[in-house]
Amino acid sequence: MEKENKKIIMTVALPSGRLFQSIINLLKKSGYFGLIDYDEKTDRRLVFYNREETFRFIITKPKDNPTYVECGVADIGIAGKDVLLEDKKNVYELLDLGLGACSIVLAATQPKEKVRKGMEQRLPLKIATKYPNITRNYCLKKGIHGEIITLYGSVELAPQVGLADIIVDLVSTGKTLRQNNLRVIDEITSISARLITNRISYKTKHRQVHEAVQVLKKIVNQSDYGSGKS
Amino acid sequence: MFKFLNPDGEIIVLRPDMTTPIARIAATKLGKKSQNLHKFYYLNHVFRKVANNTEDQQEFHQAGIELLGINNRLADAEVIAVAIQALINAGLQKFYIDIGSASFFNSLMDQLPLIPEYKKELRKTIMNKDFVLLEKLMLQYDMSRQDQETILQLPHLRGDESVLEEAEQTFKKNNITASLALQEVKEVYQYLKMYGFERYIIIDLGIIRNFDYYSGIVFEGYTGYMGSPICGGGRYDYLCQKFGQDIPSTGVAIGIEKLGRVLSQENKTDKQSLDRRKYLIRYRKDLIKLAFKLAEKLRKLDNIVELELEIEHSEEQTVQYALDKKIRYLIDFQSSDLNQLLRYDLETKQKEKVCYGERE
Repeated sequence: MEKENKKIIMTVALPSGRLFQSIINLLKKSGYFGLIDYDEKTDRRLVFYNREETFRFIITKPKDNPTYVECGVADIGIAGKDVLLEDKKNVYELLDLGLGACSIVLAATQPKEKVRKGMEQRLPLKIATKYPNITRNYCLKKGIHGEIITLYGSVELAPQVGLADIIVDLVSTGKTLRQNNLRVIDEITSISARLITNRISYKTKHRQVHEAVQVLKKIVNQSDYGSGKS
Repeated sequence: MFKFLNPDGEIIVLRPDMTTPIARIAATKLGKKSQNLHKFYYLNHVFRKVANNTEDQQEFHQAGIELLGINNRLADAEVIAVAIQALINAGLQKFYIDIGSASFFNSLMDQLPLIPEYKKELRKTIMNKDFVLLEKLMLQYDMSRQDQETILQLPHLRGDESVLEEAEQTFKKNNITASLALQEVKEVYQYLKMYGFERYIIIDLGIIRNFDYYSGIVFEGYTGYMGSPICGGGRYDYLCQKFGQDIPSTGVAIGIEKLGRVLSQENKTDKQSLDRRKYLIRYRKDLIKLAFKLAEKLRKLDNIVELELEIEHSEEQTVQYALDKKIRYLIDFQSSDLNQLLRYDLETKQKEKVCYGERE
């Protein structure tokens, strides 16, 4: 707030966690956001500025990112498609950044055929997930009779100890699934990080938002983009 | 929407807006007079499902007006002007109204050589401004380069009057409906200029409102303090038709809770002055009857008057209370002579003698 008198072009909400460094690299590479000094290892600031003090950056929990953007305290943000699908915030998706590409899948310890047959016969299934809304929509679409158990992490544990029959979870390499004897039954949707904005910033800072989209799009479309992916 | 079953098994909903019930009443209850010009206003609750974890409540208040029975640009402009004046009167200092046209957007959609399901999907995607999905859909539907460009250009048709000229150049040759819609926006803008309101107005041809009943000029108002519009409206010429009568109509609704939040945000940054209609009376215990009388007298003169209820308060505490409540004047009642009272102006810090006694 002490720098409010400076001319801030936009406030950008960045998600903490595993994508943070690749997002910082992307912003640096674009050149649009000025000189960014932020060392993830030592820095504990949640609000910082570029060296020119023209952009303000705030660091949010990944799941909170659309909330900061939706209510207008940040002009643009970066959120996983999983968060956007689950929480249905009123934000605009501007660009697929391609970072953190993975899938949301339905997985089970039992063989695929057996689970499929159970689903067809409308047998009640207990489904453990971090994504109750995505799971509910999927069940409605597929006519699955499911009881949803919401967990906050390590969802792979649930079917092994009998808490649930199947799980709906995020998968990137599939290693965690395999080590926990889980097989993919169905892919629900693919996921990646998206650049988002809110209805009002899209109006009041239209030019700046558009410029940011254009410069980032240029990098995302480069053929060597993604080699530095996390 | 919140939907229920009534005992007959019919679906009923809690009203998501006031415009639809007003259109229904106008079309079904006004009889022969339904074709006359009618003006309605309301301040009422509406109910909408909103996302969790936001400040927005599912039940909220809307204040609005509807102007029925006339289809011209003067009526469109008047409704917008009333909305602007209402926001000004509410004390809002910085806000904008974006004006666009539903028929402009509709005409662009009509021209696309796509099957209805695709158009519906495309419309929804453009409305949600989901550009990631939009690009995928345009590829999937195998749309021509030119059509893709037209759609992608939409959000950028935004700014001052010159935007209209720019759009006119693009559409005058191949889309008459779009061209007429642009003329309408231009005319409304001219009227709003004459009202002296152009500084509040921005042309935005990318506006697509959430309700699908809009048919002509549409608009939405917003401030920098909130991520969604505080007011919105437009022309809906075919809504009454659904209830059996053809009545052209236009209207606006202001979100009261949102307006309240925006006002308190503005007040945080601008120091608000004390209310000169507000009085607080402090009195000696044995003079309470006279204090009651004086309070009544001041209220009749259209003031807001409070009596100090916590009589054990020191003068300092009373002054603090007054400042908290934005009360400007403090009258200290220490003598029974109504012509010998001191009025303390908390804004100027001046004490002056005032006469509230009976005139001879």
